[in-house]
Amino acid sequence: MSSKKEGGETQSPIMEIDKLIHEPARLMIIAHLYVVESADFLFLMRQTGLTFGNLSSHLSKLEKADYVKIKKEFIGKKPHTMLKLTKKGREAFLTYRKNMKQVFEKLPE
Amino acid sequence: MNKELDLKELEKKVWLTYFQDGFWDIFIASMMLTMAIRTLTDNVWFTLGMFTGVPILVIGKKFITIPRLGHVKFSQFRMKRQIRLMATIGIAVCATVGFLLLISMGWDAPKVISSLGMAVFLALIFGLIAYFLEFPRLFIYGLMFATNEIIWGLFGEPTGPYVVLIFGSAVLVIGLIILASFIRKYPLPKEEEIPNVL
Repeated sequence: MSSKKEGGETQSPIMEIDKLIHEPARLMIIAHLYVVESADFLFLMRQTGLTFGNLSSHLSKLEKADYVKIKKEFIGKKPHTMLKLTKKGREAFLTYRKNMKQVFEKLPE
Repeated sequence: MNKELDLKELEKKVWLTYFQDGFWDIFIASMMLTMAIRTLTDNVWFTLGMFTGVPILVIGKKFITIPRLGHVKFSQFRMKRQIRLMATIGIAVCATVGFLLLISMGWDAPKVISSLGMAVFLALIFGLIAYFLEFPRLFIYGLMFATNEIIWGLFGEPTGPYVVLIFGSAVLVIGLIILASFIRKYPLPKEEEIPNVL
């Protein structure tokens, strides 16, 4: 309690961590989508090593939070589901990175 | 965590995934082999053969690589790099044409000097392409082309073409091994593994 202020300062960036992004699988998904313009399910499966079901479940959560846009389009004659980070998703990811950096910087040696 | 969030490295890793298929190696091998065979057989039709690598590269990417790795649109950063690469290749082609025109107009440089000049030029071009594509094996292939050019200049035919034949065969074997490894590592996804999500 005496270190409440201190504790408050230390806790604050941690409390601001976006739990939606912080989950390891979702973090991988968002990081991969961040570095490209858009990608399909197979790309994310290959890059993240997640199964289709797992990936689908995480993407649903990210889509619900409006971090990811799922767009169905045709490439040639084959239907494809392309995934893209929304502006909100990109900003959320940048904020997450900033907060994580602050958390690590404030941790004692 | 720092390594995971190194976005530049992540983007590069993703980009390089699309070079794991061996098609660029097969493309370069086809150029080397047709160049050698053209000189050894003195058959000008083999000059056209130098372009057979292009459909192999395009078709291979479309029907083997992408169905196994998925579709991706790379970011503006990568696209700008590609534009710089195209501009570099354009300048290189113009410089090569200029160089060849000089020779055809009677510039009588000693064979070794013109070979050395060509070797440096090839090493530089491949080096730049390797840099822009971030594809390290191209540096080695550039050195192979350059070395061959020097050997050709020093020893002439048929040593030169045979060296190209050896280099080309080696690169082809490397490409095929990489391709086989890629196909084994990334089998085509089964329908139940990745249903068409509509």
